[in-house]
Amino acid sequence: MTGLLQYNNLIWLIPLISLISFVLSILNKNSNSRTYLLNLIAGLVNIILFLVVLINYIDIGKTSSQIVWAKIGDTTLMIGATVDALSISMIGLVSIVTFLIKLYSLQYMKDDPKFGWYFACISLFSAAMYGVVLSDNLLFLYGAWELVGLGSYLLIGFWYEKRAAAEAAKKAFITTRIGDVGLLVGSLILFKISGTFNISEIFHVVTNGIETEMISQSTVSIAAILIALGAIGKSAQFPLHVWLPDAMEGPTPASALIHAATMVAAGVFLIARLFPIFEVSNFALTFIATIGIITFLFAGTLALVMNDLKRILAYSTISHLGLMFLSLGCGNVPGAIFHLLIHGASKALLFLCAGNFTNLTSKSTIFEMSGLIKKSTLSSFSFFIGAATLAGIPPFGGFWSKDAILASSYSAFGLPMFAAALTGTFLSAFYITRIVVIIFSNKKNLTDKLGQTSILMSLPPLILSVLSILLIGLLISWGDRYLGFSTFINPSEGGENHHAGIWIPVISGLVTISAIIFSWLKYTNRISLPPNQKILRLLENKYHVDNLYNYLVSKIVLRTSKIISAFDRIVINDTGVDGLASLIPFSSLRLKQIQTGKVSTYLMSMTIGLVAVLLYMVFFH
Amino acid sequence: MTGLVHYQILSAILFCIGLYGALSRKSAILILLSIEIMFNAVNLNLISLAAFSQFSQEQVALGQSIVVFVITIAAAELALGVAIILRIYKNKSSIDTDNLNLLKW
Repeated sequence: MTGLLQYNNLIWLIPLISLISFVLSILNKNSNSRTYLLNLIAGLVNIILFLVVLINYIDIGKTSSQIVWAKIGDTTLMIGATVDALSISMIGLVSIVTFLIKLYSLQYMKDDPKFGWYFACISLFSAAMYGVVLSDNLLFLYGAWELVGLGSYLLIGFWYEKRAAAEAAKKAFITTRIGDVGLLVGSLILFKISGTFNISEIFHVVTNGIETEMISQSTVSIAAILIALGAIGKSAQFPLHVWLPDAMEGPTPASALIHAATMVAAGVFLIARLFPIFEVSNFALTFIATIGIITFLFAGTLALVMNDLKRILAYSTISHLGLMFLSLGCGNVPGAIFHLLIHGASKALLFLCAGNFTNLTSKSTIFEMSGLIKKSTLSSFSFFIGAATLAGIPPFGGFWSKDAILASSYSAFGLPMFAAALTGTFLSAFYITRIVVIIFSNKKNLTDKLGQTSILMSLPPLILSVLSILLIGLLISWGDRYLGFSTFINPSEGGENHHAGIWIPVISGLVTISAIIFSWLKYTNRISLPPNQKILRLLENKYHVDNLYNYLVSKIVLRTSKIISAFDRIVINDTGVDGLASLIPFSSLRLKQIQTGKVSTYLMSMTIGLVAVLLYMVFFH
Repeated sequence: MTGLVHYQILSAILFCIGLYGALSRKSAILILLSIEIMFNAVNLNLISLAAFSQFSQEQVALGQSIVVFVITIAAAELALGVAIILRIYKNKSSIDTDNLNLLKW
């Protein structure tokens, strides 16, 4: 028993429990009570395990454990798990958010016929997510990564009878798959350089190789950029962002879990985990920062014109992920992870409240939801806290995380990047205030017959809002064991402060507050800022990116595949395989006509044979 | 003046005539007739070789006795062939070999 509960082996239990609950949920698909009990217990056990591992980590420190998977020649492939500050933070986020989502889904999915399958998918997804977070080698990481994509596919396309949901699931899977190719090729390049898939060994080999000039920096840059491509796909960054808004076709708690808190954070996590590789190459860091800032602004502008509440939140997620990428590109890993935690908690909370509002009003656009504030106080309160956190109003959590990222963007890339990030902050506060003002305005667009929100659906958002406030506590040092979040994540860097003075927080605070004021003035119609029609059209068409991709896919990809499939059908199948096979009946058809049955024919052939033999004997012997 | 060669050429011509008849006749009896011509050609060949050769008396006698064998066998085989043709005629009321084509694909 003690052997099983040893620190090393405990870390395996975390994904294993989710996996077991997945299998058992599939077996119990039709029995609602057993399924949800199972999954709730699994979720609770995971939280307890997280706390145990956390305590062990604080006492003992890093650990890892491996199992041999296969031996191919000289290389041994392992499945391994490692626990360090980064994975602990992620495990905490995933376990707590998953448990709360399971509670919420109990009520939300209560009448759905595929209730058991829903919980099975959630368990599968969380098992895979734990795999990604704990993995200590690139191969296992890739496998778990793909499983996460599968879980997302299953959950987005949960109501597959709806055409839009099936298409959205397909789009999500294919778009992230394009990024995954980058991850695969990048890990293979790293394997080729260092001979191993194990992440810490790769770090050693790469840093030594760069110092001794044995490994060229361009190779590492290329590997880094390819891996970043995988992160871009999974975290819905600029060219590959098109799947996330459509993914809102899935059930709302699934959106909260996957597309707010966990799966899309996997890309940020990947870059943070492999950061020493990115550190080597300035080009890769600049690349990530550029993609991050482009996405931050791009999605921020798009969130301004959407009307469907979930879609606004989706674009807001894309935008904040861009901010996290910007932070990583500026070299500030703790800032990115802290923002990930805060954003995870508050965005999940916003999605759950959106689910509550949609349930109450059976509407999904914000204009149709106005006047809610008097009806559902608990959800509205949580929504308000979440919105404040995300907008970055001091003293809520989002303010501190954004401040850290803005400071590092200034110190890494100077004024232009800082100005761009400030613009993004303005947009972010603006659109969030838009939502809050319109939903909570006094216009009565609702009928008065609204139900009550059950406690199971209003409690998780409340807990998440409390959590998002508590997370601010991570920034402070607690005694001499825990010296603040940056040293928690980067123990070797000591107490590096990213404070470039007091004026950065002041400026960002002013920008945020002015955005809130402007937005409030506009959307309560106190001032009128008529939008430029051309720009409005551009934004409503989502910058035509979807149209571009549709064009590329239908005109180029599908046409090419038609040509190739014609080649396959005509040349390879009809001529090659069927042709060769039909040679046999054809030749037998011709050859059997020798047997005419007529005596004279047989006599003739005998004579010919005899003459041939005689000629042979005369001339060749 | 007439030497071995002439007999052999005659035998060859007779054989070819018989062969041509066997291959191109429709009536079964005429095929048998052509086969008889082939037999006669073979007999002629053997006898001429025996007559014109410088063999000893025993060897000449050997040649002549082979011919007797061949004539006997030809007669027997002819009888057998006619018996088969009679059977076919009983079944089909015709001895056109073009109709005897059941042993085919």
